[in-house]
Amino acid sequence: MTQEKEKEKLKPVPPEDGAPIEEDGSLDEEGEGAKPGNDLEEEAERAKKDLEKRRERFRQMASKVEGEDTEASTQHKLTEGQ
Amino acid sequence: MKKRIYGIETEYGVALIAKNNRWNCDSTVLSQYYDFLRSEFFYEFLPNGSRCYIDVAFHPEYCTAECLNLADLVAQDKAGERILLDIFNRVVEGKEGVKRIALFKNNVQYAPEDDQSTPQAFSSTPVSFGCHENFSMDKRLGLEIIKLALTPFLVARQILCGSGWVTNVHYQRRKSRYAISQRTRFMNKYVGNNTRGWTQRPIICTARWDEPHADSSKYQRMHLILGDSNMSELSTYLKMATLGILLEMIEEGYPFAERCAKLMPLSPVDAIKLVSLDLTCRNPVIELDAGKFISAVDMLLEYAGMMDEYEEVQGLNPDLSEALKRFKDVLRRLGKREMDSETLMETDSQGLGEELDWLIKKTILDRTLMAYGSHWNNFYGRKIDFVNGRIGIHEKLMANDLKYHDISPQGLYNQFIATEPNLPISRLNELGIRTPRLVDKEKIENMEKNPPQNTRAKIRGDLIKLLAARGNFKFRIDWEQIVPIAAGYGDSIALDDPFAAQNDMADLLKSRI
Repeated sequence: MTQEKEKEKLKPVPPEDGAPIEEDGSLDEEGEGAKPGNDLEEEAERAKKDLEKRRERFRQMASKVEGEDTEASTQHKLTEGQ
Repeated sequence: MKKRIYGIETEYGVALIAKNNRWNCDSTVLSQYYDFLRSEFFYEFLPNGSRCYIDVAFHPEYCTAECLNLADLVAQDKAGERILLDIFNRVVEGKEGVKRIALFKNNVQYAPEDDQSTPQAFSSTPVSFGCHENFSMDKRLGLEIIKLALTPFLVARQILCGSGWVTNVHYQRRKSRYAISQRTRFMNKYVGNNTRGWTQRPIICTARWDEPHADSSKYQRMHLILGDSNMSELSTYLKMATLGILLEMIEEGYPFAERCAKLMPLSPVDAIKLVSLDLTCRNPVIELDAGKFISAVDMLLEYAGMMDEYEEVQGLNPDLSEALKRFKDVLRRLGKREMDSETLMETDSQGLGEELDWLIKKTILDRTLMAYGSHWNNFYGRKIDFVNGRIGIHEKLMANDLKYHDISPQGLYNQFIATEPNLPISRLNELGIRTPRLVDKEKIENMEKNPPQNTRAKIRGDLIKLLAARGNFKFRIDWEQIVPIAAGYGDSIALDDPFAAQNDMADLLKSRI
């Protein structure tokens, strides 16, 4: 693999969508709680699907490099505890 | 003994983060913020019965109150995070140039240590700080049966409660890699009574056995220092519950001598490190005294069988019986988990990537590696672009590793659980939604302010609340006594029964304050 190609490969992949995760952790419209008439199985299916989307979005966001990251791995110097 | 007191002591890592994102972990800088912490409490004790103080080497430490059941323990442990976060947020309020003091519930420093290939070659001691587990146990138990019954288990149990680590140094003669546990690297002795020092920390720790904080004719205190600090409530729960079951089995005379002799590792110190590096958990990396090899999963399956046998004959209380079910369920799924053998990326975590610390973290880091077209066997030395320059993938992994343990809302674990529907745990369970959480936030909030109601922590916590409300600071409070330091309040009150949630003398004292 050429150097250019290798460099291209190592460029960060942007998250699929930049939508922030709701801070209160509540479900969005698509993943609302039980509606009258829906059985548990359907509710569970919907909630799990929604959660998986949220978690994947969270994992993608975590892969972005932030300002503090450059310090964390070199400046986290502590004293020996117990 | 069917009842047991549980407690967890956690030392936190700490960093002062400036508004320009520069970090400062210097203890002299940090110590100027600690006076506030010292004056915050009632002789270091809090109204929820816990103790909070600055431990050796300037690590803030939180010790849970005495807990009789595991849900209280998990909630007390989580309440500690909220308490410390609140204190340190107030400490930096209005301080010029300071963004925050970050607190990390982890066990290692992330800055690289000397780049040497063997521990003996370090010019400075590799840095760790601990999470110590405490269990009340029958005074009659001796060291030999504890060693025999617990050693094989302790070597392997990190696959339940390790918190994962992107190693910052050479480890077992290889460059940085992912390990299941942080603390196991620092366990370089089999049995001993030291809690500090590179070569001195033991797998079976005998320190504090003679400090039961209770009637010493009846109790001694098991004090283990080999475990990681956990963010996942399930990991904390399994760590403490499985030991609770085993200690009960020892106390009730289960024939461990007969069952465990064949499971004894040839070298516990080597085995515990090899388990930490076997991400499959199924390779037979533990060499046994008997000349055979066994995997961590198989070792724990042996113990699950013994626990089943014990439960069938002797019975377990409902709290521990439920814990045994969960232990076996997690083990079953660990046994079926799948990983790509070349890249070491998860292909099917069996849901454990949403429950156990080391696998939640690994799943996040797997995604980070994928985002940069890399994996666990080729990331080292590669660099990626970011807005202000370039950063090694290794550094990004370490930054995310550390961020996982940040107890603020910015922390990756806390962000992870914030993705969950805002529903009670019971509802999540009904829906079959996997979560590392075990207790509702209302219970944690309650434990932040109130002590467990069924141990002596209630006496202590209630008294502290009353004294604080009255502005009366004429008492010294300790784990096992209340000592008046002014005339007119009678004699000291001994609280040497940790299971007693009521004390006549303390009640009388309260009526006189």
